[in-house]
Amino acid sequence: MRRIRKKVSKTARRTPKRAGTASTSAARTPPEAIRAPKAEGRTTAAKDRAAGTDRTAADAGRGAQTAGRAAKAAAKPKAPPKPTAARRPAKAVAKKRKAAQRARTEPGAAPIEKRGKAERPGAGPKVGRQLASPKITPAPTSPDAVPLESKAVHVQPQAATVVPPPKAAEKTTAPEAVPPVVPTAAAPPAEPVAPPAEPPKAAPVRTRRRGAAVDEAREAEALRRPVRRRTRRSDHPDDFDFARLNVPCQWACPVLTDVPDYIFAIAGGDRDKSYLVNRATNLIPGVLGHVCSRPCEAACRHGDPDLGEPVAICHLKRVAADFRNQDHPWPDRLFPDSGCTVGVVGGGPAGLAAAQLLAALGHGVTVYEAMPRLGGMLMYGIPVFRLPRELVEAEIGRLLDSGIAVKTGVRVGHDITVPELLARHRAVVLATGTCLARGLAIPGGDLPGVYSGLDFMMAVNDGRPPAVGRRVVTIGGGFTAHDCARSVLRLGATESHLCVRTTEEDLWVTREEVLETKREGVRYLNLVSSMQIAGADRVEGVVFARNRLGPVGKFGQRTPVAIAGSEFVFAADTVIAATGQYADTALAAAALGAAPRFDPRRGACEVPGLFAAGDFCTGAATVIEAMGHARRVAQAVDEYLTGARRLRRVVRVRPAADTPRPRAWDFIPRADMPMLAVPQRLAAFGAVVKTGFPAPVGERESHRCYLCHMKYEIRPADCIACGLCAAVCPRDCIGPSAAAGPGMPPVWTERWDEAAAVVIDSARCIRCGLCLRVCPTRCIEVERVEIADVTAGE
Amino acid sequence: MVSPEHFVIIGNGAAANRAADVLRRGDKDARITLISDEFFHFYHRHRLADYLAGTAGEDDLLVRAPQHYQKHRIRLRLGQRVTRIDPKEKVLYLKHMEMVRYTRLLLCTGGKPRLPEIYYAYRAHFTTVKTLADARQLRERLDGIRDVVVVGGDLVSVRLASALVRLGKAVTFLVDADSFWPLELTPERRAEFAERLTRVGIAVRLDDALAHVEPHPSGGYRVTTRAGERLRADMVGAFFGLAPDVDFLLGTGLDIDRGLLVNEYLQTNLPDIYAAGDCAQVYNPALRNYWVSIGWPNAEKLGEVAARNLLGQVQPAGQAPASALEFEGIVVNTCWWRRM
Ligand SMILES: Cc1cc2nc3c(=O)[nH]c(=O)nc-3n(C[C@H](O)[C@H](O)[C@H](O)COP(=O)(O)OP(=O)(O)OC[C@H]3O[C@@H](n4cnc5c(N)ncnc54)[C@H](O)[C@@H]3O)c2cc1C
Ligand SMILES: Cc1cc2nc3c(=O)[nH]c(=O)nc-3n(C[C@H](O)[C@H](O)[C@H](O)COP(=O)(O)OP(=O)(O)OC[C@H]3O[C@@H](n4cnc5c(N)ncnc54)[C@H](O)[C@@H]3O)c2cc1C
Ligand code: SF4
Ligand code: SF4
Ligand code: SF4
Repeated sequence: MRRIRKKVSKTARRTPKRAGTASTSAARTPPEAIRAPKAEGRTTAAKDRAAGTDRTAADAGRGAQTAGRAAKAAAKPKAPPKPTAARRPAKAVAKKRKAAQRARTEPGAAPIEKRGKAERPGAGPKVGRQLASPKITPAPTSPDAVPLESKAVHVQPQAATVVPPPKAAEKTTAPEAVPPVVPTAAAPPAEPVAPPAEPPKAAPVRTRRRGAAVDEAREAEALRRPVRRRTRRSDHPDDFDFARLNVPCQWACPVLTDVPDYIFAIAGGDRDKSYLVNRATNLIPGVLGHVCSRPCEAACRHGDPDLGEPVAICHLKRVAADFRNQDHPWPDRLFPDSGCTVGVVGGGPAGLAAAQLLAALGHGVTVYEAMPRLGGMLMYGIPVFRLPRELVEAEIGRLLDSGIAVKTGVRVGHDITVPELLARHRAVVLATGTCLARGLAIPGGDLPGVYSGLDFMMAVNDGRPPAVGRRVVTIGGGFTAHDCARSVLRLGATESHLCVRTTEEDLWVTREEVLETKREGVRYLNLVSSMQIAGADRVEGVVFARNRLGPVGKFGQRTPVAIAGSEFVFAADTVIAATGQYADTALAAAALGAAPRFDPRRGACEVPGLFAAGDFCTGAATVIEAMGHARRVAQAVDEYLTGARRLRRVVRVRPAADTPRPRAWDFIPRADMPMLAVPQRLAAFGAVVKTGFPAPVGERESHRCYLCHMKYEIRPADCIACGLCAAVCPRDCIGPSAAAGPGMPPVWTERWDEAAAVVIDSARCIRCGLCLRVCPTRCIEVERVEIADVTAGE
Repeated sequence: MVSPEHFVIIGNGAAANRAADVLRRGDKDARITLISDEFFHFYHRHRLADYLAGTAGEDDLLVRAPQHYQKHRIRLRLGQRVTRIDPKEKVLYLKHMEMVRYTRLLLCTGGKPRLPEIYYAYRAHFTTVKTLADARQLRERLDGIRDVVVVGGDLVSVRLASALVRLGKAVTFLVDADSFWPLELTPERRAEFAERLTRVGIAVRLDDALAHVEPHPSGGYRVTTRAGERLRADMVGAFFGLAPDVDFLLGTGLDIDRGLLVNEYLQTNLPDIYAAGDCAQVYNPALRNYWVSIGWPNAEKLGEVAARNLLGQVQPAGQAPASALEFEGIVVNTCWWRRM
């Protein structure tokens, strides 16, 4: 997972990006250069490793199998479903081409299977030309979202609360927002389109682009197409592979947030739905919208070479939280009371995530927290200027409504011991984070004027900021180091230097954080290792050695190698060492004899009923990783308590008609987050730096998402190899393959006469829908794929 | 005997050309290829201001006649962008999907316009001039430009601003002491600088900087300064010097900090790959630090050193720069600004 974090800064910061150009080169040499542009270099390999193994590992039964496949299938597109179209003779192709022309001139010739409202005569085209309201509402692609989601795990409340009926008056924040469609819970599962509840009002979104009218007519036409398939639910490794390759953002998120779904909801003006889709898995969307480390954005297809920059996934989460209309209660528990109680030690993101899932599964949960307030590092680590505390309190408060008891001010190991807790509860989850700071183990590391980063930030957040000098040197490159370096500028320092052992490439924070840190005036000193703190009776400087980059380390980061004879002194009057944090394992060891060894995946150890979650178990990570880990551990606890695996991870595949967005939206540039001016930031410690997207900006940004959960596939039986799709495809990702079969990578060929089938490379496809709209035989099928945890009986 | 070597040089600037010449002199038979994504032959970048002002034509910019390459059997590939290199296989890929093999590679990819983080949000509104293509584009736009605001300040901007004044444009120069580049603007230097600008007819705002730029509803831009002044502009020029242009090399396994990290022999961390010119960040043992040199004479010098080392000699990149400035955590060689 660490590698993913690094990838965030890497792709975002340095990859040169140009908006919306498409590769139209006809040359196919070297094939790998075209087809697998990302399968190169340590970055992607590491990313695949991290994404593939980690997630599938969570899926206990299939773990090894899927991980193996995942590695093999990297950047390999899904082959067409059936290998029927074995080598077509040239003649047959010519015949098919003619048929194609015929079909194009007489569209009525294709069989139309009547199904769903949208196919009623007249409904389609009208919908399309009426400024396409159905396209940007979530309904067409999620006709059955409500009934299914309500059964899916944890979160989704009852159908009625998922999407409030359109209340135009309520949406005063964004008058231009399109009224959301009312999804009728009774809608048949395969219905492709739900017509708007009321005629859509004119919206600026659409007056902006004229060319889109053409798209709209085509889309309307496409929406009338028969959809022959049914919703299915699968746990076949192939389908997981497909989801991994095709919805990279969701797969990269440690809690599998359904990113395209919530972004699409914002595009449709329904921030409440968007918020709920988020909360279903990530529990505190508003908080994450401020501070998430966003592995999803590093994986986003929009950031691929030549496609511009990733969608602002994280900022959109904040848009949903900021502009939702109501505060939604947590839905009822998934299971009735189990009679078991679980003690969760630590009220940080991991503890709370474990508590929420365990409560949803019907267990009685009590959280023991040492500090007076819940939130862990959200409350005591991350500075206020990055994360307003009211927000933390509000979202955590809501979370507790799901039936979680809390005991604050109880330090486990001091006020109560772990064995005592084990006697009181059927299971105990330790989620106390990494609360001990690794000091500076170099000469002079204990001189006055040297602080540890974690202690420094905790004191600052507790309202007791330590005195800092004028020239402050912070050593370290993580979140804590950056927060210290930025905080001291607000506490009176005139110079703040951040000293990193390698380069900015290897920083573990987001690129945006780096940019803001620089903007505030923090200077980076790269490629240095601290050797000694200089000074007689207080800090006077740091002796650094200059580094060169060494081999690639365990987590894909570069290791520093000091250059002999390169030492120099860097003056400083305060030094903050933010060089790492570790877990206080003595907590468990003191009472149990030896320190228990926790299984890093499921959190269990030799002591029955004792589990560990979050940073405490994995080492210092990020909020979302801690939560993802805690959710897996909670499932392991549930299995321990009930002896059954009650949640199942599945891929849900639903039929869809077309990508419900115009091609023009592919060219919208990524919106920049508006920020407070630097003098204002430095003037008041608590002034929140990121001011958030205004609603219209958020909506526009949401339009950028390609909706990668749409899966385009060619039905070989009906394909006549006319080549029209390949001619219009802007990504050069559809074409003749000399061999085709399930699980087989395409063997691209220039010669249509030797094509076994026409296939789509889904890992490159941007779901623009152009191919679908020109296909004369309508053999391109669109489905919507999503990963979800469902209750086992479902 | 045919030499087995194929020296490939990415770039067609001062460093690349000097290196190619030295390589040819040292190895009569080797294949030498220069690849550049620019469409023009090797030209003097510092004359771009004259070109803009109309006092120099495109031909005047040329450093040497194109026949030079034929004569010396140097293969010139213009208008071709290298997108990726595969150091294991010793091949590089061009944007149009062609593959080029090399035995030894020299990276002379130069610099790209630097943009300080504080102005990152306005990048879409800025005009920069690094290449002849940029200058051509700007020249075509000139008729529609009346008011110009120039932010930042490096010596390129001074020349360009003067050229624009000569063309009758109203130029306002926001001299940002914090991001002036690459010289430290001491009070004396600043006064001198301001005076020089004022003499040519530029409206100078000392001690003021850009606060905000947004497109003006009626075309052009609306610029707000930190002091609160509001300016209308048809063009906002941003000149903060150059920064190494190495983005496309990320992920290849090459060590990169600000530029390509090389030792004093200009070797990168990968075998048979060297770097020279504006793109290199060179370790200097005397300085105990890395330094980046941006400037024509230095680029030529580094190109020459790299070529010699490619030919098997062992020559260090030389002394610490004569006048250097620590800037944003790196030492920048500034001696080059003196003339040309
Ligand atoms: C300064 C700083 C900035 C950060 N910024 C970011 C960021 O921007 N984005 C991001 O993704 N991550 C960030 N992180 C990392 C992130 O905060 C952690 O990864 C995350 O909070 C880990 O969650 P956790 O629940 O495992 O542990 P913690 O958040 O540390 O929570 C542990 C909880 O256990 C309690 N506790 C400890 N000991 C006991 C005990 N004996 N008895 C009872 N309770 C106890 C603590 O009081 C605390 O509430 C940052 C970390 C720091 C320090
Ligand atoms: C307007 C202007 C005025 C200047 N004035 C002066 C001056 O007065 N005095 C002075 O000393 N210096 C001046 N300089 C700086 C000087 O021009 C440079 O320092 C010098 O040109 C550096 O040479 P170089 O060979 O390292 O790189 P460059 O000349 O920058 O050449 C690099 C080449 O590599 C190419 N390239 C980069 N990436 C790729 C890729 N992926 N694939 C293919 N090709 C690629 C680029 O297109 C470019 O042609 C000026 C620069 C500018 C822009
Ligand atoms: S474009 Fe949208 S669906 Fe695709 S990866 Fe990015 S955020 Fe996810
Ligand atoms: S929780 Fe974080 S990683 Fe997951 S989707 Fe949201 S921003 Fe991305
Ligand atoms: S939807 Fe079709 S046309 Fe568009 S990128 Fe994908 S394969 Fe190509």
